[in-house]
Amino acid sequence: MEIGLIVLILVSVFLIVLYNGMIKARIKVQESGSTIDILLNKRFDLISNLVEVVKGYSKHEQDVLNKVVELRNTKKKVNKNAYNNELNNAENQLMVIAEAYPDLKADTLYLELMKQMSDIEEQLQAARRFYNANVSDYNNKVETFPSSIMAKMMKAKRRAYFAADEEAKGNVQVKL
Amino acid sequence: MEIILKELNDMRHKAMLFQLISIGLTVLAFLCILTGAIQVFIILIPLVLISYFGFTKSSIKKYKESYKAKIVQAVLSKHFNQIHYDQEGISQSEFDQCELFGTYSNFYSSDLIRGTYQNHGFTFSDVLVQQVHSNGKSTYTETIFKGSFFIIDINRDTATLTKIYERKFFGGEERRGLFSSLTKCEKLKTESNLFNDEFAVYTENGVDAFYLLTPKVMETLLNIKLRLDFSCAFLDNKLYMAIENEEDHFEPSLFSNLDESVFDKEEVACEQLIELLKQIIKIEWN
Repeated sequence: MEIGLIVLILVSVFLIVLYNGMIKARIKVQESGSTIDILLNKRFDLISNLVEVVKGYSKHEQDVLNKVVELRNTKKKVNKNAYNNELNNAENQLMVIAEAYPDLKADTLYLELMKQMSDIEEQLQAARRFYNANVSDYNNKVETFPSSIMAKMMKAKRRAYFAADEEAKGNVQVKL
Repeated sequence: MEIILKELNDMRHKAMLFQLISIGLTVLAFLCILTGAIQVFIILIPLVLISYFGFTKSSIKKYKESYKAKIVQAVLSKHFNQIHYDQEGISQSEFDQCELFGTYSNFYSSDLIRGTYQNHGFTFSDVLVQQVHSNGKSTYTETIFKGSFFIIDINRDTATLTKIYERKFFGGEERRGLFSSLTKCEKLKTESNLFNDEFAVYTENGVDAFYLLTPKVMETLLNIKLRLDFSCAFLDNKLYMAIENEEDHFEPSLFSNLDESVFDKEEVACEQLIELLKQIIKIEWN
C-alpha cells in the first residue's frame, strides 16, 4: 500500500515536472515570437518613414511607394516569414529607387533612417536566432522521450522555425 | 634618470633595512620562547609590532608608490595617450558591476589604468578575488580570480547583462559562486555547438545576448580562448573581461637593485598589457 502511494507520488511529480517543462518552453517560444512581431512592426514603421522621404524626391514611382504603404494592412502579418519577406521586397524596391536619386542618398533624414534600418535588421536577426533556439528546445521536448509523452497528452505539435529569406536578404544592401 | 634611480634605490635600501630589523626581532622573540626567556619576549613583542607597522610597512609602501609614480607612469605615458594611472587599482563597486564572480570574501586590486587604445576606451587593473572557507576548526583561502581585469567601451547598446564563462573540467561556473548571483540570468544555448562546448552563456535577455553574440563575435571569442583563460560580461556599452593569467603587473621587487634595465622590465609588462588589449579589441561589430 505504502509502496503504491510512493510510486503514485513519484509519478505525479514526474508528470508535473514534464508538464511545467513543456509550458515553460511554449511560453518562451511565444515571448520570443512576440519580440519578432514588435521588431517587424518597427521595421515596417521605418520603411514607411523612408517612403515619405523617398516621395519627396521621386515623382514617377508612386505605384511602388503606394504598394509599400499597403503592406500595413496586409494579412501576411499573421505569418512572420511571409511578412518579413514582404518587408524585404519593399525595402529592396526602395533601395532600387534610391539608387536613381543621388541627392536622396545624401539626405540627412534618409541617412539617419538607413542607420536605424541597419540596426533594426541586426536586432531582428538576433530575435530570429533567439526564437529559433527556443523553437529548437520546444521541438526537442515534443519529440524526445520522456517529454514526448506529455507533449502527446497536451496535443503539442512541432513549431516552425522563423527562417531568414537569405535570397531576399541578399538583395537588400543597406549602404550608409 | 640616474638621480631617480639613486633616489629609489635609497628608499629601497631603507625599506629593506626595516624589513630585516623586523625579521631579526621576530626571530629573537621566537628564540626567547624556546629558551624560556619570557620577560625578554614580552619586551620584544611591542618592538616587533612597532618596527613592522610603524616603519617597515610604510617604508615599503612609500618605495612602491615612488617606483610606480616615477618608472611605471613614465613607461605607460610612452605607449598610451591621455592616460590616467592610479596605483590603488579599480574600485570593488566598479568590478562588481559585471557580476562575474558572485559572492566572495576578499578583494584586492592594484594599478588602475584608464586610457584609449586604437580608438577604444579602456580600463585595466590587476585584481585578486578570494573566498575564505571555514569549517569551525580550520580556515583556508581559495583564490577565485587572479589576473588582469579589463573594461572596454563597445559600440553595442544593450542595457541588460550577459555573462560568458569558459567551461572548466570541474565546474568553472559553480566555483565562482555563479548561482548565488544569477537570479535574474537564464542559461542560453547558441546555435553553435562548438561555442556551447567551450562557453556557458547566462543572460537577462536572450535577444540582447544574440545581438551581442553574432557569429563573428563567437568565432573571435573561441580564437581568444585558444590563447587566454577568461570570462567576460557585456553591460551598458561595455565589455568586462577577466583574464586569469596569475599576473600582477608593475610590482617592484624589494631585493633587486634598480638600474636602467628596470625600464626594459616595465616595457615588457606594458607590451604584455597591449597584447592583451589587441586580443580583446578583436571583438567587434560592423
